[in-house]
Amino acid sequence: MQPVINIAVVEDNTDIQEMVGTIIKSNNQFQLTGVFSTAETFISSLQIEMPDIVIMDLGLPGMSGVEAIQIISTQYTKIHCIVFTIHDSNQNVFEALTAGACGYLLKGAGKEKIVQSIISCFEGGSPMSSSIARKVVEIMYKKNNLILLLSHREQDVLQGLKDGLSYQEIAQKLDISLHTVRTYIRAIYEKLQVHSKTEAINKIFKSY
Amino acid sequence: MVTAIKQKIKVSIIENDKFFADSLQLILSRQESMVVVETFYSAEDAIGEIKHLKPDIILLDIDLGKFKKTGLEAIKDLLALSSKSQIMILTIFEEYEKVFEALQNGALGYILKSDTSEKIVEAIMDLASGGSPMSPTVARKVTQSFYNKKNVTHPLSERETEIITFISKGFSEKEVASKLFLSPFTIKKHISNIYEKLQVNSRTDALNSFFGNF
Repeated sequence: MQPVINIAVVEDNTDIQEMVGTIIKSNNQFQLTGVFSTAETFISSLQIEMPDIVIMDLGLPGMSGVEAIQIISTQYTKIHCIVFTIHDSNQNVFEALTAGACGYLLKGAGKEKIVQSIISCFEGGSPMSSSIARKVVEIMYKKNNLILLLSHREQDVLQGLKDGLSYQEIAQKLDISLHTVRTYIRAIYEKLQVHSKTEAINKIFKSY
Repeated sequence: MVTAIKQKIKVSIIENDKFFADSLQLILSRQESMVVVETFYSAEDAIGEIKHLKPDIILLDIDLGKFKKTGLEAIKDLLALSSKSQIMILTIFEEYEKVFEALQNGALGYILKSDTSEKIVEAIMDLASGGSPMSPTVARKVTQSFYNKKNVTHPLSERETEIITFISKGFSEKEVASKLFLSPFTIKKHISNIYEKLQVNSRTDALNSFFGNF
């Protein structure tokens, strides 16, 4: 007899909540443990009951899907997260996977794909929409994918540093204040876990 | 009425296991949507012809036996000769190092031979329409490689991390106890806490959960 898969849904759009809920309820192997409009309410609920799989939206009010995935990956390691979102940028995909997401589905995915993905994730796979899988492979192909940890603005600032510009020159080039440049640089150091300009540049741009 | 004739997907097979290669060719040639343009039993043979054939999809094994070129090395050569070809690795090997190297060299799909022939056909169709098919366990290894443990706070205390690290190196509980000047009872207690924090029931699961299973 097949084991029952307990599934929770975290999604702030009520239509999508209903759609995914219906799909889960229509399958004998699945049990819908709860539907949550915010990541916070979902995380709180874990004190009482833990699903096997959570279908997680990324764009949530308050705590983001990525933050929730990070918490689940560290404190609730048996729960697997399948991202279910409209967002498909390399940045989103990279952040979600780096946080520990198991699967990544785009909101065009049909019922069959969603069902298959839940089962696949439960059985040790990492289901992804076709185009997302291609993005993942392309990210791996580009060796210096650490740059995706940085926002576009931070990438611009780092590029400026690489080009040998002073902070003032970077500020002028990007039409921002010197103070803002310094803030971006602090953020870059923190994200890359480095302490100097040289380290940051080497970490991102060194050829392997 | 004009019906658009969809171009058949041109597939080449590079596989040194003759039996597998021929069985695969038979299965694929039964598919309406594709045509096997050539089956090669070595990378050397393939490299000679690929430039002319320019297949849409190349199914490539990465253990090509005693031949000079391994499948992994051949990926770059094949893409140099036929840049629009999309390479799908079809192999028994699922070690992360091989997957990573294949994808870094430019392969766009990675399927295990243990998958059913239906899955293999599905994968070819997926690849042809812009996806990157990977067998489930392969996909899991790929996504786990992104999971950056350094950026997240550790669930285990410093002492627990110390203990699990010794265990991963093969020390027995008794040896860990003596190394840390603690009683075996204390070590046992720490280990049971580790299991609880990581939500596992066995040493193997604990090590996999903490260090990641590649």
